[in-house]
Amino acid sequence: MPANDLVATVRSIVAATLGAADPPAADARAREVAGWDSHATVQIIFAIEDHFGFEMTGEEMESIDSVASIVAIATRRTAMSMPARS
Amino acid sequence: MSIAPEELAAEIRAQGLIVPTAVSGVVAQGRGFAEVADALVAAIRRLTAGVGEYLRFGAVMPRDQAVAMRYFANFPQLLGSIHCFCGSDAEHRALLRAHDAGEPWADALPPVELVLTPAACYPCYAILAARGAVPAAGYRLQVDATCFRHEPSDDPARLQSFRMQEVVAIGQPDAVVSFREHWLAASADFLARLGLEGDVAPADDPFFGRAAAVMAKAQRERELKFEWRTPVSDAARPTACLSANYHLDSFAKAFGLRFDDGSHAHSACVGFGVERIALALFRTHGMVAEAWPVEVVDLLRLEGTPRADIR
Repeated sequence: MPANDLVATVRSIVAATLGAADPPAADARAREVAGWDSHATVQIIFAIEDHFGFEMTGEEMESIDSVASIVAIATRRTAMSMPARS
Repeated sequence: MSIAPEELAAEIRAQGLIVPTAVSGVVAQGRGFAEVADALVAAIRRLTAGVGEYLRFGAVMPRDQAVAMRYFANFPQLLGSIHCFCGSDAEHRALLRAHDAGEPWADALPPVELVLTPAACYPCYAILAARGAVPAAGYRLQVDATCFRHEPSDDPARLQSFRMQEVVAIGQPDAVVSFREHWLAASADFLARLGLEGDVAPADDPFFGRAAAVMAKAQRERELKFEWRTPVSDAARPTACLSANYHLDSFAKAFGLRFDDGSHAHSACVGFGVERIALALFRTHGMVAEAWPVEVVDLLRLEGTPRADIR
């Protein structure tokens, strides 16, 4: 998935989970986004896992504090699951 | 005479203070233990008498309230659910036939509108929300309840059914945080006057599953929970006898507890674990309550208890 698409997908998932009309900015931090508390973080984690088809480690889960932190995890994990090009 | 934590379980059983049942973490209290626990409840009630409205809850609360407070989501492993038979004569006969044939029958008892109360303050928020807008000064309460958490254990300090007393504040954020700080300090002082030595430490709740790390981290970062702990049954793992919690606006949002301006109230509580404190007293001062230091006996007003009644 192109990087811009992945960022847009993460922003969309966060907005849907929070019930927000507009996606948060790509550089938004959790504490700056209305309704993004620890309960919401857990729901966002599960939604991201369902969408991308991977399961986060505990360390990854605890590192989530922003849209960018989720994008970093999704980028790394989706790259790991792509077939190697010869 | 104090007792080593590791010897407490055997000693209190030998003295008949705690009588195990067939289920771990479910016990009967002998008279000596029950007298102390009752005296402790009364002493805590005297300590907190000026706080505000008093409410005593039973062992059950409305299921939909526990759901609204996300207890079922955060602690499904601890929640006790009430199930009852609500069927017809024919369904009753089918139930008995299944039982007598050794077949599964529990499905004939569906969940009803109740769960077991997991914390003393949980049933109070819906009651207050039904009164309308939160007053500018907020609410202050004393609450008692018999609580349940499904934590089977042979540790006498970890019962599945236990008594909890709390003081609760609902109001502006600064006010409820100050309330929590005041009552944590006052409650710790009360325990010190009972001769108990312990420490206050940041804490987190036993959230279920993979989400636990996220939730616990948030609790610690935002300093939402503190416990006063003392060695009771395990010297290496002190037991929490007091719990001081700041709920932010989560419980208020669950029930629409708002001020006149529409903003949500915040809430906080400080809870006493009655049986755990009683155990700490027995461990610290010995198995016979009349032999405890006079200031402890006086504070608990135990002096009138006939010795013959205390085993």
